[in-house]
Amino acid sequence: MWQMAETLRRALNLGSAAGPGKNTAEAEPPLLLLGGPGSGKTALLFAAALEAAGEGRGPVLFLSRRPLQSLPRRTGPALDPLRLQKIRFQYPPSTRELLRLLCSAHEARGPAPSLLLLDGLEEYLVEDPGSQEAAYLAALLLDTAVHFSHRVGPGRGCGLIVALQTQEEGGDSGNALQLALLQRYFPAQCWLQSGAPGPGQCCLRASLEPGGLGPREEWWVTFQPNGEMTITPWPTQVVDTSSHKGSSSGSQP
Amino acid sequence: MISASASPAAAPPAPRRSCSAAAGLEDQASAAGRGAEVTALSPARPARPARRPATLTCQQRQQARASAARRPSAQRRPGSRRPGKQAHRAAAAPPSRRPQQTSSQAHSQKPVHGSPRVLCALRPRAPEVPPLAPNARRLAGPPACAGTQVYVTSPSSPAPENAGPAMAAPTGPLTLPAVVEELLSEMAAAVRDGAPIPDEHLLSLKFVFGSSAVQALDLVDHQSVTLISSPSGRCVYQVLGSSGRTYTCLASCHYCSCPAFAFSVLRKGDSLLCKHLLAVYLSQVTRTCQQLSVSDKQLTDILSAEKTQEA
Repeated sequence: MWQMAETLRRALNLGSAAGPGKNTAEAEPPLLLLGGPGSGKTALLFAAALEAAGEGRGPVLFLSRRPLQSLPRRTGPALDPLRLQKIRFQYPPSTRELLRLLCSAHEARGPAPSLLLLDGLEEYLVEDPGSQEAAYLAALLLDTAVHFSHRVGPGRGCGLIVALQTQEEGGDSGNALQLALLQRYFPAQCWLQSGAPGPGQCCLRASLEPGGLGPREEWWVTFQPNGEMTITPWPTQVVDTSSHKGSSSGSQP
Repeated sequence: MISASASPAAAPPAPRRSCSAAAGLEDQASAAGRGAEVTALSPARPARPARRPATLTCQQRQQARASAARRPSAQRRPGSRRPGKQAHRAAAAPPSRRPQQTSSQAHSQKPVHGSPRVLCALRPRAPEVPPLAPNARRLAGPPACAGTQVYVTSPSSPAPENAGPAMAAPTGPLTLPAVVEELLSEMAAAVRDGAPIPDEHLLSLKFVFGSSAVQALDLVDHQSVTLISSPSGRCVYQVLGSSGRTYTCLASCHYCSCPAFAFSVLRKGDSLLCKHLLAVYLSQVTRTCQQLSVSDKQLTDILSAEKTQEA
């Protein structure tokens, strides 16, 4: 199975108390988190960061262009300060800074991160919309994660989750080209979509597509008015991660 | 349909006969003075279909090889022929693109064919493409990049195209298709004792990657691939291109700073790899890459400079 998607899956499954919590240490393929504005990508990313920080495998590196305005709240003991301490936030203000950070990642001393998160990839890509620049950034992200995996040691590895904001409506072809390019480097994707809005709630549907190597899974992510996030698998039956169901009963994103 | 090469035996590929028929086909073609790209693959040896990618039948491979023999002429002008110049055309096309192809024959025992180069002049549309701008090959028309467009040879030879989609499925830069992985691991096993790459693997390589295979082998022969590592354990590859320009490649995920990669692989999605990346993988297999140790800081600079190397 895919450890990285597993981490996210565990984060998503935490709300439903159905996560089997597999702690296997296979290779962790990088994951691309896609969704429109306000679809909860940052919140999910942060949930994954907390999850990985709690595993105790190493620090978590959280990269974002802008500092998080507020820490997304979450139910459960996940938000204890010990976990928060393990998350290193860095805010490279420009693409150049981000590239410099990634290029010099091997120079940093100390324990290698067990999870690398990047929020808002689109903000960095908008500076240089060329395909080679986007590929270079994606390749560097992957290479950095691979390097961290080597440093962390065999059998543990470093995961990579990148959040990318997509246009709600089709967008122009340039964006589509860029997205296709990123999908080549990130075979596993998780799409977040707005679902049916409930009273005072904001519901999203998260569908995880592990790049064809696993069954597609979906969850409902609900943001309560007080900011709490609850996650339930969707369809409502327990998602058996070991089964090979073709496609769930939902519609295509 | 079959544009003639000089030898009449080069006409229709023998369907379902042994693969030596195709080998004989190429033998004839080479005897006609064709490009060394075919000779480099030692057509005297019959290919062993058992080790081929499972998706291709023997017939398809024969047809692919035959079409590769015909490719330069068939593709350049589909449907139009210049009588009397077919052989020259077939002969001239490959060498014009690979000025150093002869060195790749270190892996085979075929002699160097110097004569085809003279025939380049006979072809006004020969793709005299500078290695610096491989994307120009594509702009010259579909036939120009016949090498990298291994899946599409010409409209007149649909057989390889049938085989093509089996491998043309986009699998993303992280993983090569299973066929290529299998081929590379077979090659690694075969050269373990320091032996040269067996010809059948070269044939398969040529089939999958077209002219990029020859160019990549060339780069490997010239020791153009360097593995740069630093004390931190992070490493990167640098390939000295045929133009003298150095390109940086990331092997963990497929990325190369050459313009061919940006164009053919990323934008068009035609090719799996550029020749530099293929050279990196081949040098990994044959363990012939040079090693260079730099400091962490220098590695940072090398990685940072990658981006600026696009033409």
